[in-house]
Amino acid sequence: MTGYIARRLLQAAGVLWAAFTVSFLILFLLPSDPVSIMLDAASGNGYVDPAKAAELRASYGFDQGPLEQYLRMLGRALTGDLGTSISSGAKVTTLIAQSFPETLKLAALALALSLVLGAGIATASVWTRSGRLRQLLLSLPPVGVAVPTFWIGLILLQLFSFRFFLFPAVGNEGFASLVLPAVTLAIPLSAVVAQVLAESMQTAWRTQYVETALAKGASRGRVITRHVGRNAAIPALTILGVLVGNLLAGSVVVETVFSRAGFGRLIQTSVQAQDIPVVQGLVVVAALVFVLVNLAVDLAYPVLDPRITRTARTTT
Amino acid sequence: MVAPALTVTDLRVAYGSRARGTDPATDVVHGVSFSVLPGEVVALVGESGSGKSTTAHAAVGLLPGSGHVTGGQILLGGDALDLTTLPPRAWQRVRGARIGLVPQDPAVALNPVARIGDQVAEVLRIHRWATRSQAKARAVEILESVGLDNPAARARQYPHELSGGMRQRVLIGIALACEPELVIADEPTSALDVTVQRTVLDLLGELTSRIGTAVLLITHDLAVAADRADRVVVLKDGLIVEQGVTADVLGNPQHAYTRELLAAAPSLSDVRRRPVAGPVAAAAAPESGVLAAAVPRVPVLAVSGLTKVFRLPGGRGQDASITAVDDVSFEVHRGRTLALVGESGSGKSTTARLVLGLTSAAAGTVRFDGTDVTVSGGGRGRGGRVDAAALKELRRRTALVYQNPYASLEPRFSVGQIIDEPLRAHQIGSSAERRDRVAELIDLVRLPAGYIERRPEELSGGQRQRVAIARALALDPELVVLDEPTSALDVSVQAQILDLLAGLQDSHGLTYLFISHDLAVVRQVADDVAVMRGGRVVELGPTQQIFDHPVEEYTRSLLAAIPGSHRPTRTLEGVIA
Amino acid sequence: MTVLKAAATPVADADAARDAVLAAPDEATSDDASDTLPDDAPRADGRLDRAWNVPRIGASRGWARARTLLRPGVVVPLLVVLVVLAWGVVPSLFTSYDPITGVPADKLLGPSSAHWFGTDHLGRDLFSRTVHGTGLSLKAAFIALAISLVVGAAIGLFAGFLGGWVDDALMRLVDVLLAIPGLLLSLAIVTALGFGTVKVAIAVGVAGVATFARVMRAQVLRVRNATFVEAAGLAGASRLSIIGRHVLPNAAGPVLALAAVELGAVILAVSALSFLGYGAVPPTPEWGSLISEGRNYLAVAWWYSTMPGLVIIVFVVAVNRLGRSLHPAEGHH
Repeated sequence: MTGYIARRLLQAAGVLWAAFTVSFLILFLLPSDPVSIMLDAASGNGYVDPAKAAELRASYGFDQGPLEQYLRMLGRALTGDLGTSISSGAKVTTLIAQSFPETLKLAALALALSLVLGAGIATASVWTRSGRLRQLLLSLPPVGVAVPTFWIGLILLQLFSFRFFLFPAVGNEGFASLVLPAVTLAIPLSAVVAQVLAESMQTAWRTQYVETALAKGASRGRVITRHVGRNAAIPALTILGVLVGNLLAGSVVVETVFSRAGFGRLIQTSVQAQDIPVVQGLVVVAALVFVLVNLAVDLAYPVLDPRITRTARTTT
Repeated sequence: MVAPALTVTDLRVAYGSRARGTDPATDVVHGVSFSVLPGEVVALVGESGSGKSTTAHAAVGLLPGSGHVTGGQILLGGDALDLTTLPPRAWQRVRGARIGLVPQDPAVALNPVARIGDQVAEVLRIHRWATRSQAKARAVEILESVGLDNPAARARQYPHELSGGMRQRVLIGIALACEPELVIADEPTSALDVTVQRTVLDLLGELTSRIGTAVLLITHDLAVAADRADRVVVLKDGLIVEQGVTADVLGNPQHAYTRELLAAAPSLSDVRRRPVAGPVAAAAAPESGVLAAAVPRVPVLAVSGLTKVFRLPGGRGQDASITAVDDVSFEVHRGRTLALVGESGSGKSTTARLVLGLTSAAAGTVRFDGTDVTVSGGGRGRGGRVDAAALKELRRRTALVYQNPYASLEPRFSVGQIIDEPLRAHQIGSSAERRDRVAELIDLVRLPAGYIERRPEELSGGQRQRVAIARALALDPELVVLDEPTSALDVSVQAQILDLLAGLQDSHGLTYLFISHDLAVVRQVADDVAVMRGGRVVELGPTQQIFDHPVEEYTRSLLAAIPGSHRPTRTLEGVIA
Repeated sequence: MTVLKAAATPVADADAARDAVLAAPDEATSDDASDTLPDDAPRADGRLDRAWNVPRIGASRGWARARTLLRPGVVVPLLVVLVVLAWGVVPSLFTSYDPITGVPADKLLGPSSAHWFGTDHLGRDLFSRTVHGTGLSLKAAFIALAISLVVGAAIGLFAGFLGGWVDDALMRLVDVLLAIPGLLLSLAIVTALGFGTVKVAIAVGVAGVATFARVMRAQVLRVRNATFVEAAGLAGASRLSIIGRHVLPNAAGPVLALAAVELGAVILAVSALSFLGYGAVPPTPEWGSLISEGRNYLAVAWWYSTMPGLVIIVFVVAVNRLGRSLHPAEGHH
C-alpha cells in the first residue's frame, strides 16, 4: 500500500513538473520578448523603461540561454518561490494564497449544488417508469452544457439582483453574495454530472445483476439504491478531476461577472495585464489541484470497488 | 389431477411500440401453450430467434426494453394467479418468493461490488423470511447447501473471487432460497465449461427435487434437455412445433424440424462428417520415435516443445506470469484434421496463434512443411524475432478461420472486397482475374453470386462464416486453422458449416488444425485429437482411440460430461436408430 | 480472466469515461471467449437482434439510414446550423441594418418587429450585430477546431500505431495538457500571444489538442486490435495498407463525430474569452463581446445580453445534437 501511494505521489510530482515546464515553454519562450510585453502592458502606454527592462531581464535570466532561465526558475519554484508580480510587485504565492479561500468557498458550494442537482436528474431519469418524463429529464443536460456560463450569470443578475433585489450583484460580503455565483457555476457543471451519471446508471440498469435483483422481488427503488447507485458511481468518479478543473476555469468567468475577488479574478486581471509570472503561478497551482483531486480519486477506488487491487492498477 | 405450477396459454409477446402505429411491433412469440406440473422439469428447446428466452422472461415479468405481452395467459400455481395482468407491486411479492430465476451468464449476474452473503440474504430480507441477523446466518447455510466450501468465508467474498461454476451455485441458492413453486433456468450452463456444466445441472436437479420445485429449463442444447427434462417443448420462430415426454419426442420425433435438430446435434448423433482418414500412426508425437519413423512424409505442421508465458499486469516475481502453453508437441499430416480440445484457459487458442506466428513463443519450434517458422523471443507484445520472408510465405500457405464471424470481417467492406483482400495483398492476377476468383470462391462456399456486393451486416452468422471460409481458401492454403469455427452458431447452422468444411477438405486436400471445446463436434470431424489442460497436452491420439479407450482421467471426465450421455438408456437408443 | 479485465477497467484519467464509451471492447478471440450461443432477445436494448437471426436486406438498409437522417430530431438542428452558417457567410442577406453605425435616437429599444433583438446603447440593431458577428465567431471556432483536430489526430495516430516509447512520450504530454483546465491553458497562451480573435482561436485550438489525441489513439487501438484487422494481416496486407484501408476509415467516424460535438465546446470557449475581453476589438461585433457590452445595461435593457446569448445556446445545442446523431456512442462531455 505504501509503495503504491509512493508511486502515485511520484507520478503526481511528475505531472506537476511537466505542467511547470509546459507553462514555461508557453509563457517565456513563445513570446519574442516577454519582458517588453510585461512592461508594455504594465505601463499601458507602449513606453518601456530601458533600465527597468534590463533589471527584469537580469532577474529572470533572459540575458542567459533558455535552459539557464528554465533551471533558475525551476529551482526557485522548488523552494516555493513562483516569482513576483510585474504589475503589483507582490509575491505570486502571496497573491494566490490571498485569493484562494474565496474561490474555495465558491467552488465547494457550486460542487455540492451540481452533485445534488446532477445526481437528482440522473436518478430520477432511471427511477421513473414514464418514458415521457425520462425524455424530458434527459433533454435537460444537453441544454445545460450548451449555455455559456457568463450568460447564466448575467441572466441571474438581471432577475435576482436588478428585478427582485434578492441578492447582491457584486462583492464578497456574506453568504448572500455567494449564492448567485455558485448557482451560475453549478448549472453547467450539474449538466455534466447528470449526463455522465445518467449514462452509467442506465448502463448499470441494463446489466444482468439488476435482472437478478429484480428476480429476487426487489422494488425499483431498492435496486437503484442498493445495486445501481454504487456501480454507477465508480465510472462517474473519474470525472471528478475534470469537474474541479471546470470549477477553476468557470471561476474566471463567474468572478468577473459578479466582480468577486478570488482565484479566477486574479487570473483575469493578470492576463489582462499580461503579468506572466502570476499567470504561470496560477497554471501550476491549477495543475496541482487537479493532480491532488485525481490522487484522492485513485486512492478512493479500492475502497469503492472490491475488484480493484492496488497492484493490478494500471498507471494513468 | 394436481394443479400445474405454471400454465401458459396462447402466449403472444411482441417487441416495439405498444401504442400508436408509428413503429410496428415485432411479434416474436405467436401463441405458445404449455404447462409445468409441480416438481416436473420441462425444457424449452430452440435455436436463436425461437422465442424460448422471451417466453421465459415473460413468465417472470422481466421482458427486456420494449417487450410486452400482447395476448394469452400465464397462470401460476394452485391459485392460478394470472401473471400477465399483475401490477408491479404484486410482481415484487411473486418474484423470488414464488418464482426463482437462474440467469444465463453467472459472470455478470451478481452485483460486482456487493458481498456474496449479502446478495443471498437480500432475497430473504425482501420476502421477510428472516430478520437481518437471521438472514446472515441463513445465507451461509444456503451457500453450504449449494456445495460451496467454507461457506462462512465465501459469504464475505465478492463475486470476482469466485469461479463461474461457484457463482452459478450462488445464483441457484438465491433462486431457491425462498423455496419457490417454480424455477426458471435460462440457459443456466451455456457460459460454463462442460465439466462444470454437468455438476451445476446435477445440483439444480437435486435441490429442486428435494424442495419439490418445478423447473422450466431454457436451452439451445437438445442433449441437455435429453439428460435433464421430464418433458420437452420444441420451439421454432415463436411457435411450438412439438412437445411431449422427453423420451418420446427425442426417440420418435414427429416433426421434421425436431428431426433436423436431432441430426444436427453433435452429441446426440454418431454421424461422422467425413470418413476417418488413413493410417492411425500419422499424428503421433515426435518423441514416440517408432511411430514417427513409420511415416515417410514430412508433416505439414510439426510443433515441438512449444511454450508461451504471459506476464500479468502489475505483478512481480513468480506470480507475475502464467504459462499459457507448456511444452506442447504434435504433428499434423497432409489431408488430415487434428483437433485441439480443451476447456477455457487450456491454451488451445494460444497454441493456434503460436502456430500462425501471431504471437511469439518463449521456447520450442514450429515447423511448417519442414521449414522453421517459429516466432520467438520478444517479451513485450508483438514483434519478436522472425524471418520476414519465411513469415510471409507461411501467411500465404496457411489461413485462419475465427470463432466470431461478427468480429472477423471488416464491416465497411463488401463480401467481394473481403474475399479479395488476400489476393490483392499478394498481388495475384489482374483485377479481372481476381474478380473471377472471388466469384469462384463464393460459389465454393455455396453462397449466391449476388452476395458479392453485400456487406457483412446484411448476412446471418452462418453466411458470414462462409465468407470467412472463402477468404481463408483464397490463396489455396495447405493448412487451415479453425478456431472454434462453429461455436458462435446455432446447431443446425453448425452442422451445415461442418459439412462444408468436410467437403472442402476432401475436394481440396486441406489440412485442418481444429480448435474446439466441444468433444461431440470433434468426434465428428477430427482424425486425431490432442486433449489440452492448463497449457499442456494431456493425451494425444487417433479420435477413435481417445473416445473409446481414454487413458487419462481428465479425458474420461471430459467425455463423461458431454451432455446427452447422462441418461443413455432412455433417450439415445432411439435417437441413434 | 474476468478478474483481470475488471481490475483494468477503471482508470483515473480525466477522459477515461469518454475513451470507454468510444472504445467498445472487441470480443476476445482467446480461449476465454464465451462459447455462449446468442440469445434470441438480448436484454441490452430490448430490440430483436436481427443480425443474429435474419440477414438484413440491402435496399431496406439504405432506406432505414435515410429515415434516421430525416427524423425531426436531426432535421431541426440541421436547419438551425445551416441558417447560422449562412449568417456567417452572407450576413447582409438576413438584415439590412448597419451593424457598426446606429441611430442614436433609437438607443436601447426593446425587441419589436422592427428590431427583433432590440437595439443597443448607440442605437444599433442587435439582430444585425449578432448576424454580422457570426462570421468572426465561426471563423475563430473553425480555426480552433482545425488546430485541435489536425494536431490531435496526428498525435493520436502516431501514438496508437507506433506504440512503444513514442506512445508513452506523446501520451504523457497529453496527460499534462489535460491536467491544466482548458480555459486556463488558453488564457496562458493568450497572455503570451496577445489579444485578438485569431490568437484566441489558436489558444482554444491548442487547449483542445489533448482531447482529440486521446480519442484518436483510442480509436486506432480499438481498430488495430480488432479481429478483422488481424485477419487482414494474416491475409498478407502490409502495414501501410492496413492503416489506409482499415484503421483510418474505421477510426475517422468517431473522431469526426467528436469534432462536431467539440465545435459546440469551442464556440463556448471562444465566446468566453471574447467576453473576458481578449478577442474582438470594439466596434467589431462578435458573439461573446456583444454579451459583454450588454453587461453595463443589465438593469435597463434585458435583451442586450439575453438575445445574443440565446443564439449561442440554440446553435450549440443544435451542433451537439447533430454530432451525437452522427455517432450515438459519443454520449457526454
